[in-house]
Amino acid sequence: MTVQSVVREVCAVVGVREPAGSIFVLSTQDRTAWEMVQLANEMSQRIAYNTREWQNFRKLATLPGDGTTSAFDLPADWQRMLKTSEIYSTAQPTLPLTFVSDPDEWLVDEMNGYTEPGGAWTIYGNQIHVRPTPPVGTQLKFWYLHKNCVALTSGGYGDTFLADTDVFRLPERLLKLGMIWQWKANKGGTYAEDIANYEDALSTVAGSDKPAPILVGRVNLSVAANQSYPFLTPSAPETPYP
Amino acid sequence: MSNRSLPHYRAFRRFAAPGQVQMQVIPKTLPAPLRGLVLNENDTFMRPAAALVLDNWFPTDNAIRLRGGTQTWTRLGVTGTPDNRPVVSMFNYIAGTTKRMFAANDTTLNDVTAAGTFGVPVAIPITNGNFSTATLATSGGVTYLVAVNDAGDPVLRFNGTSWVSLDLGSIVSWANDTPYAIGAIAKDTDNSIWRCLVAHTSPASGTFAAARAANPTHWSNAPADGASWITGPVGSPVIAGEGLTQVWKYRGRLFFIQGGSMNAWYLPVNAVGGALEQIPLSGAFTLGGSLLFGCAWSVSAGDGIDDKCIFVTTEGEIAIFTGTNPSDAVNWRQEGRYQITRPLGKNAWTRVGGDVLIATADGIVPISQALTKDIGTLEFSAITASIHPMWMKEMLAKRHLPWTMCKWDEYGGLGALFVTWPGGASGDLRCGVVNTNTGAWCRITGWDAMCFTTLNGVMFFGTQAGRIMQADIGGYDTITDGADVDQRMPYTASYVGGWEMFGSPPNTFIARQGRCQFRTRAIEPFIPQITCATDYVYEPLPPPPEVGGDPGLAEVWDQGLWGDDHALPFPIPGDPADGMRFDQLAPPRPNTRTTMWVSIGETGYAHAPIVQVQINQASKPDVEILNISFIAEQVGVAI
Repeated sequence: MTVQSVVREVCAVVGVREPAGSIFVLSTQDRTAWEMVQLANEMSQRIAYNTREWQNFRKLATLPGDGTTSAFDLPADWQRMLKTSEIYSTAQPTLPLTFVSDPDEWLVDEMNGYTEPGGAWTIYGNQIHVRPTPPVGTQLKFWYLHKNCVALTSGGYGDTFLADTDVFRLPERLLKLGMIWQWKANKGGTYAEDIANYEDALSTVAGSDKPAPILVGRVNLSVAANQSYPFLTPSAPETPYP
Repeated sequence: MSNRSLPHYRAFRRFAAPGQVQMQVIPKTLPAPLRGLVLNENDTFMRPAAALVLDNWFPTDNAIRLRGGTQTWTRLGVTGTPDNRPVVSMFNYIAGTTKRMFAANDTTLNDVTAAGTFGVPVAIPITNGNFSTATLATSGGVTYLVAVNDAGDPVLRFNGTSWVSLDLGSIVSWANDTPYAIGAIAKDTDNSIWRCLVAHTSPASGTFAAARAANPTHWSNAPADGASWITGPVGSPVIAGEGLTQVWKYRGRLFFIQGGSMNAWYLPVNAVGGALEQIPLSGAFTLGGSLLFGCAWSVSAGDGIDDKCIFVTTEGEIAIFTGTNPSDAVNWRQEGRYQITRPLGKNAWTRVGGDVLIATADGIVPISQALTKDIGTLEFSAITASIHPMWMKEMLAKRHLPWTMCKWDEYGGLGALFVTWPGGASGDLRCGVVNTNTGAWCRITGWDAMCFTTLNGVMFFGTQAGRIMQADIGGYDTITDGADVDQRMPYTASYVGGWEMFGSPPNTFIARQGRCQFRTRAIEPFIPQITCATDYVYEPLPPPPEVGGDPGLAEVWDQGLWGDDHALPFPIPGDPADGMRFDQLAPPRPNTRTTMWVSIGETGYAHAPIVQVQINQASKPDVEILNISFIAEQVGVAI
């Protein structure tokens, strides 16, 4: 399966003639095919970035300390941190560095010469800033979600489709169903059934993307358990949209 | 501390937006532009079935059809000496089963009846190629074609076999002791004209009459074609049958116009030769100029159908006469004088039914309308009223060349009137076409038509490069390049429909998708392109789409090859059910009857559909557009 075959399957459903040749054409040549490619890019990124922290797209970053550098460039394929990511230092592997989310707090701490006991980090200017400066020999490590959701025919990975034979790195059925409902919505069609099909498929694929959490009673024992609130938590509300 | 609860899938599930906030779209289907080009309606409130551009789509009675291509029939010149001067006029000769077609440039007249590399030049020098012709069968049973040109060269006459030039201009009196070659012309003292049949030297003494009596086989008083000379009164400009620029037939007589004058001339009844008699017409007109052409016009004046003789001047005045004998005051009278705008050439008229259509600077005007309307309102009755702006543009650009019209009854099985918009450089070659059933106009581009004529139900035209082209054949145009080589060229059919408001002119709309439906034969691999113009601007048109594949010659009469004509090896015969009984493979499944929904994505308060097809294939395309549908989203008014 390739992005070209996905587009063709979508065309068959949404009442559009399948592109006879390449789907990579100028909008002036074949606006339909051009829109299909744009939608394939949008929907594949939406699935990859916005729906779940897919195991396939999790990646470990390592920042080497040299005793002078305190600001590290983000990895080139960085999309975002995982929702629960922390930065760990080899100098003290049991506790993560404290994340300072507020820029003013980071500034005040710096001006006061204050450093969190386990070290602190923040993020701005596409760089991770760490305090105190990691000494030589230490490594900072963290998980992030990378953005390369497409396997390129030309080699390697990318975040958009560039050729007919490029492949989406998650199940392509998900991409197909996503494109179908969004295309119909874009064209003013009725898409309630299609979005339901897509959401069902998304739930199923997402559910099998990572082993189910092991629950004892109602307290989860995942790796995150060491930081979890030690009492029962109320369920999230089940109100459907809106 | 960050939130470490597990994602709750139920809460994240998306649902379709409620109906009232979903996109609301309007479907709309537009018919094919059966009204053809319509350039004289308000853009915002155009009625359906109109087109703003209709290039190479011909409006039939129920759809629009892609035109066929052109192929070189023959060309002027002879082997080794091609003649690429423009073809100025073409005409044909039809008598019983004898059918011939002729084309003239400014130096030679050519028989172009047969397809081939070159036509056959007629060995009579001419100095102008803009001919006017008339056919008349004499009581002797021979059908003659009489041809005169703008230069007033000696009258040419064709009897179905050979041409003669009735050249009396260099005539000299017969003399004694003079050698005469075959064909030499001599005048006797009684002004009779004689043609030498046997080479000889005249007697040293005696009269011409005595010499003829002594050798009856030496001289004949008729031209080689057996009919009489055409002579004018002594002292008149047409005494030698020269200076005549236009000829037509009215009530059994040939009428002529003396070029640059207000004088018309006529011959005896049922005669293609004889003494010309004058019809002075200067008193019949008031605006000056000179006579341009004349013709017969059938009309009912309330007392039955009558045949009138009309004379038209270069200034657009029309004098209408009736009667059978101009020399008889009782039997010849003027019935009226009317005014139209200036005609665009002496052959820029044609007869449709009993009426006569004249191409003028204001459009094509039926004479019947000229009688009842003032010149100022006549253009509204012109059959070109719907394309008036286009007509004026072409007229201003190309009126320096003579225009012609040709009615092709067989075209497309419907009948059409073709108008040359002659001349122009490559990319500027056009002609106008109107469906004679519906009056719907379209335009053909890429045809370098200087003049049209039909023969055996097929239309031909002459080009600026001296080619005779067969029209509407095959699926490509043949265009002469700068190196005088005929090249196979694709052509593009472009249709821009009338402006569509989707029922609400004040609103802005987004045309989301379009779909065009066609009627085609099974094997027609064309690739249509649908786009949309917005807000009253449609030029420049989008680049044309790719050419579809070439299915080869179709298995239809006159196109499919079989027997010895077919290239070897023959395909292996297959199951007759597969369509392989003949020499070609089974046609593929028809694949383009509808474009299905194509993304448009154009925003504006007026939309005009654009459908383009580029053709380059062996067989004539068989493609008709039936309709175009749109899905449009109504956006708002005050945006």
